[in-house]
Amino acid sequence: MNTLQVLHDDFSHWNCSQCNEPLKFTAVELVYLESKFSVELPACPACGYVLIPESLALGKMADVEQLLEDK
Amino acid sequence: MEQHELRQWEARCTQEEAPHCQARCPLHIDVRSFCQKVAAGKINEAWAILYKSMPVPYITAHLCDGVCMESCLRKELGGSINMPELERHCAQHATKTPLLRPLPSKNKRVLILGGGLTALAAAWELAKKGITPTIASTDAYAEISSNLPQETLEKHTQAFEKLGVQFSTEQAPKDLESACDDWDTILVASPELTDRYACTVTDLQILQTQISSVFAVPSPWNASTIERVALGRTLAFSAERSIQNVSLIAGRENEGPFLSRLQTDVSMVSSLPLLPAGAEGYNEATAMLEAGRCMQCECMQCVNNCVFLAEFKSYPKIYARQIYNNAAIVMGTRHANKMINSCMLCGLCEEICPEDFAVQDLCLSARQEMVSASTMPPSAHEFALRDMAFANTAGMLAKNAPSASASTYAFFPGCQLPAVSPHLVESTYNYLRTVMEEPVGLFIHCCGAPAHWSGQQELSQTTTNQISSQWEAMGKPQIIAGCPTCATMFAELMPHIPTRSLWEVLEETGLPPTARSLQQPYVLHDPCSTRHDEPMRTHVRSIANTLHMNITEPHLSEVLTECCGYGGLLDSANPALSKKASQHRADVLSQCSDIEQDVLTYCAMCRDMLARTGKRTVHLLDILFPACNSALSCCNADPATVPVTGFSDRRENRIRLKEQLLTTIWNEASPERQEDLPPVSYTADATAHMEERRILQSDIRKVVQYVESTGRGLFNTKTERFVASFRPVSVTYWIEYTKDTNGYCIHNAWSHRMQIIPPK
Repeated sequence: MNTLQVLHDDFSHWNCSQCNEPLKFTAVELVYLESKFSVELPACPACGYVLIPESLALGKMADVEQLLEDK
Repeated sequence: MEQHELRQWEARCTQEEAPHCQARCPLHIDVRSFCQKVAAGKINEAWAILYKSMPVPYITAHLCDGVCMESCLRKELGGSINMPELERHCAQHATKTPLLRPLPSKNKRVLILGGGLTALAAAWELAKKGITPTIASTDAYAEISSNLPQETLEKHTQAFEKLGVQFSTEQAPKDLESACDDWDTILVASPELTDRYACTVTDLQILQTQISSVFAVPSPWNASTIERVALGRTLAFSAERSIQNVSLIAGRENEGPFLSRLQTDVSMVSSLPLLPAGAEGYNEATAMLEAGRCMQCECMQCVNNCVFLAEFKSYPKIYARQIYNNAAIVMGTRHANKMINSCMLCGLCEEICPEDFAVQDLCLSARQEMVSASTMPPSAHEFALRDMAFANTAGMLAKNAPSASASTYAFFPGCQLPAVSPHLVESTYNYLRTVMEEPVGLFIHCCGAPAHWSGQQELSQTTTNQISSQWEAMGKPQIIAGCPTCATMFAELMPHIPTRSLWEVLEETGLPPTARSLQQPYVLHDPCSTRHDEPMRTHVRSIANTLHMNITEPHLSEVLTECCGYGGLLDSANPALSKKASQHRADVLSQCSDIEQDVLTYCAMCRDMLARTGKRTVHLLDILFPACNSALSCCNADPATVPVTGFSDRRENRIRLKEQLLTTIWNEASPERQEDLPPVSYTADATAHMEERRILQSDIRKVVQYVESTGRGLFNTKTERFVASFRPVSVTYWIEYTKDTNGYCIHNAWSHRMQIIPPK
C-alpha cells in the first residue's frame, strides 16, 4: 500500500505529553467503511499517539469520508 | 424501486411535455427555443431551429399560418405570440444558413405525383434522408409562387438542387401498380390525383393505400398551408419506413398535432400586448420584443416553490430517474444520496403539482431502501438519531398525575419543546392538571419522527412499540399532543392511540388567564406537519382570535405551507440547505406585509429554525404562558428575542426539566448527577465550532475523562496548548485545551469519522 503524504507543515514543536517525545512523521493506517489508507502523519515515536490536525479532519479527511459514504 | 414503478413516477411529471404551441403545430416547431433566440437577438440561431425542423424551410417560414397561436397561453394575456411574422422576419434577415448534409444515398427512388407544398415537403424530407425523390409535375410551384418573394424562391431552388431533388415532366404513369415496378415507393401528393388513380387511403395516420408501397393524401382534404407541409412530411416518413421495411406505425402517435399535458401556472403573469408588425413585417427591435413576450411555458411549479427541489437544479421526473439509478449502482459513486436525504418530506410539491407528484414518498422510500441495503451514509442522520435516543432514555418521562394510578389524559409535548422551552412544558402541564377534571399524566418521549424520516423502519417500529406499551401502562390515556409532528405520527403510525391536539383541548378548557393580550399583528406560520390537519390549524386560529391577535396569512399558508428547514432531518443531512430553507421561509414571512411583523407559530422546531435567521418568532405557548421559571431559566421578557437553543443546551434542558418536574410535582428526588471531572469551560470560538460541527459538551467531557484517566495527549510548544482525542463509538473527537487550577478550558474542537490504527 502506498503511503500518502497529506501534511507538509512542520510539527517538530509538538510533543507527546506522556512520553515527552517530539512527534515524527510516521506511516499510520486510517480505516473507514472497509477502506484502508496508509498516511504519513505526525505521531509519537514511543507510544504511537497520532495527531490529526483540525485542517486535515475538516478538509481532505472529511472529503474522503463523504466519498466513501457514497460508494 | 422497480422499473415499472419508475415509469409510473416519470409519467406523472409533465415538465418534459411539449408546450401547447409546439404540440399544436403540425410540424412541432420548438417555438420556445425559437422565441428565446429571437428575443436575444440571435437571429441566425433562431433560423437554424426553423431550418432544421421545417421541410422546405424558406417556403414554410414564409407561408406559415401560425396554428400554434390558437394554443398559445399568451392568447388571453395580451395576445398569442405572432409566430408567422417572426418566422418571416427570421427567414428574411438571417445571414447564415446551416449546411445541408443529406445522408449518403440509399440508392432508392421515390416518385412523387403532383406538385405543391405537400410534394415539395415530401421531397425535401426524403432527399435529406438519402432517398432520391422525383417530383412528377409540370409546375410544382404553381400554387405558391405568387405568394413568395423571388429571392426566397431562388434560395429554395438552390437548396433543392443541392439535395438532388429531381423534377420530371414525363407523362405520369397510367396505373400505379405497374409503376411500382419502376419505383421503390410512390407518393400521391394531391387529393385530385388520389381520385384520378382511385387510391383508397386505408390508414389516415400513415396514409397507406390499397397498394402497400403507395401512399396518398386523402380526398377530399381541406388542409391549411402548414397542414399541407406536414402531410408531405408524413408521406415521406411512410415512404422511408416502407423502403427500410420497418414498422409503418410504431412511435408515430404524436406525429400530428396532439394535446400536451404540460401545466403552466400563468396566474401571476401580467398581460403584455402583442406588437403589431408593420407593412414590411417586424424589424430587429420589434421582433426581439415580440419574441420576448413568449412566456417560455414550462411547469416547474413544485420546483419554483421548494428550496430543495431548486437546489439540485432539476425537476421530479429527473430526480425519479436519478433515485432509480442510484439504487442500481453496485460499484461506483451514488451521486444522488445527498439529494435523497435533502428532501424535507413536507409534501408541498404534491399539493402544488397538478398531477400530485409526491417527491416526499419517492425520497422516503429511497431512504428506506438505502437503509435496508446498508448504503445509507452513516453521517447523514446519526446525530439526529443520537438525539432521539437521548430523548427516549435520559430525557424520557412517563408519569401518571400525582396520586393517580392511571391517566385519562396524557400531555405529550414531544421531544423538542422540552429541549428548547422546558418552562413551557411545565406551565402547560400544570395548567392542564388544573383545568381538566380527569387525571392528566405527562408523557415526554420522542414520537419517532427522526427514525421514520431517516428511513430506519425497524427503529421507527421499536419507538412506536415503546410508546404503545408505555401508553398502556399509563392506563391508555387520550394523548394531548403539543407538537404537530407528534400528532401526525400518532395519526399515521399509532392510529390505535386516541390523540387530540393541545390546541383543541385548550380551546375547550378555555385559555389560561395568564395569556398575554397583544395588539401587535403577527404573521402566522403553519408547521408543515399540519398540512393535512385542518382541525389543528383551525383551533390555532380560533385561539388567536380569542386573544384578539391580529393575524396575517402569508403567501404560502395552511395546506400550502412551507417547511422551516427541519423536516425530513434536513438539518442533519444537509445543514447548509436547511439554513437556506429557513431563510427562504423567513423571507416569505417578512414579505407578506408592508411593515415587518413577528412570526407566530405552534411548533418548537419551527420557532427555532425561523429564529436562527434573525426573524422575530414566538411560539403560541409563549403567548399563553408568558411567566418565566428561573429554575428552567430559558425565557425572556420578549420571547421573540430568545436565542436559539444549542445542541448541548437542548440536552441539558431536557434533563433539568425532568429533574424539576420530578421534584416539584411528584416529590421524587432525582439521582445526583455525578461526574468526577474537573470543571470544563468553553471559549466563544469553541462553542461556535462545536455547534457548527455537531459536537456536544458531553462528547468533550468524554475526551476530558480520557485525558484525566490516561494522561495521554499532545502538547504544542508554540501555542502552549494541549490536544487530545477520544473515540466513544463511531466518531473521534479532538479538543484543544489549556488546563489550570480552574479546570479545563476548551479552545477548539473538531471530529472525524475515520478510525486511526496507531503505528506498531
